[in-house]
Parts: sequence; C-alpha cells; structure tokens
Amino acid sequence: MHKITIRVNGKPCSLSIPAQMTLLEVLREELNLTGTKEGCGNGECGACTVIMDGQAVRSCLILGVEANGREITTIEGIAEPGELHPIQQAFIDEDAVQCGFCTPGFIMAIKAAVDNNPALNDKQMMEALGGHLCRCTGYETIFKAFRRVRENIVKQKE
Amino acid sequence: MLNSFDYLCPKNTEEAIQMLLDNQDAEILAGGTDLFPELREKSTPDKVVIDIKKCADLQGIEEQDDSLSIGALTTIREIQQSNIIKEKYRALRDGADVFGCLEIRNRATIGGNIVHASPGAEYGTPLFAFKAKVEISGPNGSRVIPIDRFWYDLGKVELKKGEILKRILLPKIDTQVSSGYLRLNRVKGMDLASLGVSVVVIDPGQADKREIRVALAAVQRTPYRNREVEELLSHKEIDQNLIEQVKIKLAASIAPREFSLRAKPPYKKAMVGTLMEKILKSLKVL
Repeated sequence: MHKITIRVNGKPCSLSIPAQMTLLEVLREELNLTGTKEGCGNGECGACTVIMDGQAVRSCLILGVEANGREITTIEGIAEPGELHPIQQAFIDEDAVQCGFCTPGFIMAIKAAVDNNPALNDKQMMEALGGHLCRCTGYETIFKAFRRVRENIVKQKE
Repeated sequence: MLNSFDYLCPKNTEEAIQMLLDNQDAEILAGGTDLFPELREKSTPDKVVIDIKKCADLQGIEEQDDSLSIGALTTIREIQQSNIIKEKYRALRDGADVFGCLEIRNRATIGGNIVHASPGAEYGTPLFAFKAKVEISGPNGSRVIPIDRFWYDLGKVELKKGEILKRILLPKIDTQVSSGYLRLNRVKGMDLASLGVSVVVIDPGQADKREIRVALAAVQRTPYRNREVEELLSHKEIDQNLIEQVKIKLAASIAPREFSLRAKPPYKKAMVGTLMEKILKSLKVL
C-alpha cells in the first residue's frame, strides 16, 4: 500500500491505496465521487476526464500514486452544492444532455479549455473536445452549449 | 483495477537506473498512455513500475550550441506549444497536432512514443528525417546513437538492462528549412496512423542546393527512408513528371505487412506517394 495526499475539489485527502489503483478508482471507490465516469477504461472515450493541476487529463490513465501532491477538480467541485456552474447551465439550456454518461467528461474538458484560454476559436474548441465520444446527441447541441459558454464569457467582459 | 504490480518513484535518473538493475521485471512509467493498456492486459504481481517523472534531467526543450535537446519526458503538448519546434522542426509540430487527443497530449511523452517502436508512431519519421540522435543514460554513463540505430526493429529499441532514454538531439540547422508530416487515419478524430510521411527540405528556396528527405511510417518494420528517391528529388527543380516517377519507385520499395491493422498493403502503396506529394506542395517546392 502507498500513502498519498491529494487535494480534491479544494479539500486535502490522505489515503492509503494499492499501486494498481487508478485515479479514476480513487475518486469513485475511495472518495465516492461517482460523477466521474468509466467508459472505455483505456483513454479513448473521455468519460473519465478530470482537471489535474489545471490540465484536462484521463483519470483512467493515471495511477492514484502518480497523483500524489496534485490538485484535482472533478464535476462535483465546479459549483457549490445545489448550484450549477455556467457550463452546466449551458448544457441544460441547449439540451446537450441525453443519457448523460459522457457529460461530466465533456464539461470538465470545456472547463479546462476556457480556464486556460477564455477566447477560444472554433478550431481550439474542436481540439478541446476531439477525444470525447457521445453516442446520443450527435455533438451539435454540445457545441452549441460550448459556444454559449464562450459568448457568456465575452458578455461578462463587456 | 489494473493487474497488480509494485510502484517505485525514483528521485533522479541515477536512482531509476539502479532500480532497473535491481528488478527483473521492470517497466518504466512516463505519461502512461501506452503503458496502461499493457498493464491492464498482462501484468504480474512481480512486476515493478518505475515512475521516472521526478527525473529532472529527462525534462524540457533546450537550445544548445549544435542541437535542440528534447528531454524524453517532454509531453506532446509541450512540443505543440514550442516556438522553436514550430519554426525549425515543423514536422514535429504537425505530428503533435494530430497526436491522440488533447488529454492524451497533456500526458504522453515523446520518449514514450519512440521507445515502444510501434510502426505508426507519430515521432519515428520526423526524427528520422531530421537525422535525430538519442542520448541513453545507463549504469556506465551515457551514449549517443542515431535514431535509426536506436529503433532497430518492430517493437524493439536499443536499450540494455538498466538503460533509460534520456533525450533526443535534433541537429541545429543554420540554413532555411521547411518540413511537414501527414498521416492517413481511418476516422477524422482520435486514431492511430495507418501510414505516416515526413518530408524535410533543407534550403527550400534554392533548387540547386536544396536537400530533400522523405521518411515513411507503417510501411516497413521500422521508419523507412529511401535514399534513391531522396537523391532524385534533391538539388533540382521538381516537376510533375519527376513526382510521378518517384511515386512509382516509392511504392515499389515498400513492403507493408499483410496483416497491418489499419490499412491493406495496396492502399498504403497507393497513398504513400500521394502524401509525399501533398507535403511537397504545401512546402512550395512543387
């Protein structure tokens, strides 16, 4: 077993975990943060995306022990309990959720993208979501939600 | 959960080398994007995973007197954001732009990409076409060898027991240079290359002086350069007739594996020259 300390959604967590436990499993099984989903388990679908030290990463391709000392944000940590983050609101407004399984991954990818660059162009938006699969929506409503987020950022600045 | 293994996190490269020597069944963990699927399928309790991310001397892109040094732990995202690579070694940037997806680029490393010696790997051909060398650290110090001696067979690289790929050295190019990388893939989004082509043009503005190099991925067991074709293209104006000749020669010189996963040999033979032609056009030497 290995001792790790990670900050998850602003809270420090000290855990003792086996080497082979992925960050995804740490979040879901140890911390009961089940908003982050396991899709393919091989880094191909994007459902398990979380933000680690400001970067979008695949939590199924990172060991819990590798995350030691890092700052992690999951879908549970982007808004206060009972409130919605503007990206979540945009997904509702644009009907960008159907079964919802891929949604946390998409939202975390969009959050990392706009946090790193609030003035994204269309190509950069495509790049941010290039590794995310959604089998329900056909992606168009997700991009509409993304554009709405971008427009809201511009409006806020004015 | 992955199959069981033990995890070690050395503080520096010397410690990592010692751990590699001390453990029979050891795997190096850098970005993990290639290693994880492997660990999931075939791992044993005896396996030791050595996480080298704390080894400072394996990190970063640095301009030196006679070369550009790219540490083995440099992520694909760092390559994508590097100005010197964009200006002088564009084919490496092109490779980064199509590599996996953003989340993968944030973690995957250039060292990890080449040590697996996978035929379609993005970084085989641009490094070969730029005549890159690699520096290897081991129990007896370090050694530098050319990329094509390092990556010597399908899935095989020249790393002896206890050795670690330290960095990639790209020769400094004082004259003008242009380059590009194109690949075929089955879907437009996240996919591995069915075929990859890198072209490097030294002195592109002067037809009589310029040198053209063409490297191909996923057509042989290792990244492949055809020197005859490079001779034909170099030191002269290139017209469509010459290109057609070269395309036939190039197709005849490759022997893709019958059971290639992502494209059949006839398709590869048909497309390899086409991709080369597209790059030459984009570099305005055709």
